Amino acid sequence: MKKRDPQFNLIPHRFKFIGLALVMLTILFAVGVKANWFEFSLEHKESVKTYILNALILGCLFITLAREKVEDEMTIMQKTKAFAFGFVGAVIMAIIWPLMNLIYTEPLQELTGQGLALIMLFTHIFTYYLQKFTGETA
Amino acid sequence: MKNLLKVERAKLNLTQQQLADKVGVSRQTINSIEAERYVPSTVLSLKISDVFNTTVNAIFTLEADD
Repeated sequence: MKKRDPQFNLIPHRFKFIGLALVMLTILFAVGVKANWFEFSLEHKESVKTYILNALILGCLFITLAREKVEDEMTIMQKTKAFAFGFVGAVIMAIIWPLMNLIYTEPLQELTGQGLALIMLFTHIFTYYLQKFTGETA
Repeated sequence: MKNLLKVERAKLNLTQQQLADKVGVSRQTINSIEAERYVPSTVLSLKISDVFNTTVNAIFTLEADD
């Protein structure tokens, strides 16, 4: 009988470095846009912002979904918990965000789907690496 | 759950990496088990006890609060 693969269907380990490179380059590009290293018309600036956010999300997604060199039961458990933390973190942020407008005098930007996805991925990455480096399973 | 993994490993003069390679997990996982930060699955416990040619109960013992 064919045994079921108990692991997640993750992408190869090299995607972690591809994702990291994508995130670094995107941040560098975003800094460049902010510092006016590149010339964009006002109408293109919104599209550039969208592309930057999408590239960041894609890079983080690669880091999140990449396999470890040695993928075992502890890393799978750590990843599962990190996914749960990411999900809960995004839900909490979605609840808190409108309340922030009550605290601050200047209204904050509306929390978009991209923003929420980024919060989810950042929470996942932070929680996973925290578990990995402390050797704990949250 | 307490374990005698470090003692058993010392008896066979195995490093954490060597044990990890034998049971197919990472060195960090063996380290976490030894430090009692992670409780292994039944399958991994059986694999570990197999390496030391003993029973699971001889390596892993329950504590009062388990």
